[in-house]
Amino acid sequence: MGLDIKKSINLHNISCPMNFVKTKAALAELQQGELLEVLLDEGEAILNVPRSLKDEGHQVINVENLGETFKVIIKKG
Amino acid sequence: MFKINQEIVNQIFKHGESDAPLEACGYLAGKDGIVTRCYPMDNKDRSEEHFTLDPEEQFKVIREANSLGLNILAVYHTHPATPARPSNEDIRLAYDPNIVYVIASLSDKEIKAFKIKKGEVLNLKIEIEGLKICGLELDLAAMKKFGMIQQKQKGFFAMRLHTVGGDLTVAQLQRIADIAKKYGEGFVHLSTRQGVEIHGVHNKYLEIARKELAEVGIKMGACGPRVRIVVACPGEATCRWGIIDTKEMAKELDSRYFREDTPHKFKLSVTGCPHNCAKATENDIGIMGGMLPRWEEDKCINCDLCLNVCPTEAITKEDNQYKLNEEKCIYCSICTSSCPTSAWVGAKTGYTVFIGGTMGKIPRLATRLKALAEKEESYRLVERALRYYQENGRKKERFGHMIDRIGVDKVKEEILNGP
Repeated sequence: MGLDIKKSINLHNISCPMNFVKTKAALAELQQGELLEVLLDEGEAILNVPRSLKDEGHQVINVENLGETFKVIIKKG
Repeated sequence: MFKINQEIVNQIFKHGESDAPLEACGYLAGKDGIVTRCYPMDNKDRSEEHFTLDPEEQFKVIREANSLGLNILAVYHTHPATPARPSNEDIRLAYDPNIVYVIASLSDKEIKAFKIKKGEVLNLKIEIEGLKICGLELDLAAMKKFGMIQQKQKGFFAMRLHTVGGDLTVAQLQRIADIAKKYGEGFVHLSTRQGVEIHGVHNKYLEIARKELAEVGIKMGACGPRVRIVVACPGEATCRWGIIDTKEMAKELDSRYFREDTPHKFKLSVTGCPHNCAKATENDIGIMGGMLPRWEEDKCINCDLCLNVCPTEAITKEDNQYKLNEEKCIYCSICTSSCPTSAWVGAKTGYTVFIGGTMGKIPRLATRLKALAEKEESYRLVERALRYYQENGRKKERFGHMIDRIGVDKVKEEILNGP
């Protein structure tokens, strides 16, 4: 997509709520407007993490289905 | 010895007074030699000196008593102006040597019991006892109606309490604990319907325990062929997924229908959303909150999150346009709640009505009667569905099995659009 990804983390096999905690920790290292790439599991992870990020003011800008995992791009809010 | 409760004696005299100066008559039914029910009947002779039971009425009463597990123990009649002893006419017409003849004299205010064998009169000692539960005598079928369930341990009962959506105040919980300690066995059982049962209560403590529970607003539950306590999830009051106020609706349904007689047990559930935590589809009638989403293109950033979180693949994408397949949508609100830019919004919320769900011996998941009804419409449908079952259900036939017997389409049509 030609996006400027600042940081990328792999949260495959990391369950809730640790996946959200690790995502927040990674976002804390970024400046507002910068992009984080996260690999999330199917199931609870893809359902809960993006929704929780929305509650915290961050924005999911792309989701790519890789089968059992999803590559999610998040813009820090 | 012939045992009879004071309440029954009162009923016999009351019947006598209302029919005087004619003789009044009827059957007394019960179990294990104790009379627990009085069936006032017509005196076909309409006479002041003798009586005859109506055969058709006899048949009806015997059947009703048998259906409650009771036997006819005695025939009673009143003597409006003479003493409580069998007249020559009574002795002559006494064909059944096994039945007890109870005679109440209105003039002497006295009641006596006799057996009459081949013209010989045997005077039975009457024992009048006064054990009353919920204003009822010790009558197991009637007690089940008020949540007093006989255990296999003789004389001991489980007290099934009334709750709505499983909510109890701290004061109520403390009182339940007190009662379980004082009259039960020091523990409570949580039922599968969010109810509480106090086990091991001896029948002599049932009434006092009931009164002490009533002091803090706890009513008795229900058992047997009738509307049971209403189950509900916490709903929008606390749950982020909750779409409807489940507690309000559960209370309303409880106040309208709790303990109403039905052909078989009848269970209602209210669940806040299609996550279906309160299992609306496993109850005879289930109400489920739901939300139909709508896509607003101008807000959308094309991130595809909705495509990937929709549990039923109801959302598809063509040429950067998201589309909703309403046939597949289950109104769960996951898309509206997840969408980062709120491009999916709630177009309509409502109450989906399910009928005919049951688990038990022959499980059957519910049939959807109407999706996303308005609140008042959903109440109307519940009313119609319950009345339909009361009119058409057979004994021991659950609502869902009745629906399958009659035909799903026919039942749905008649409930939705019938007279």
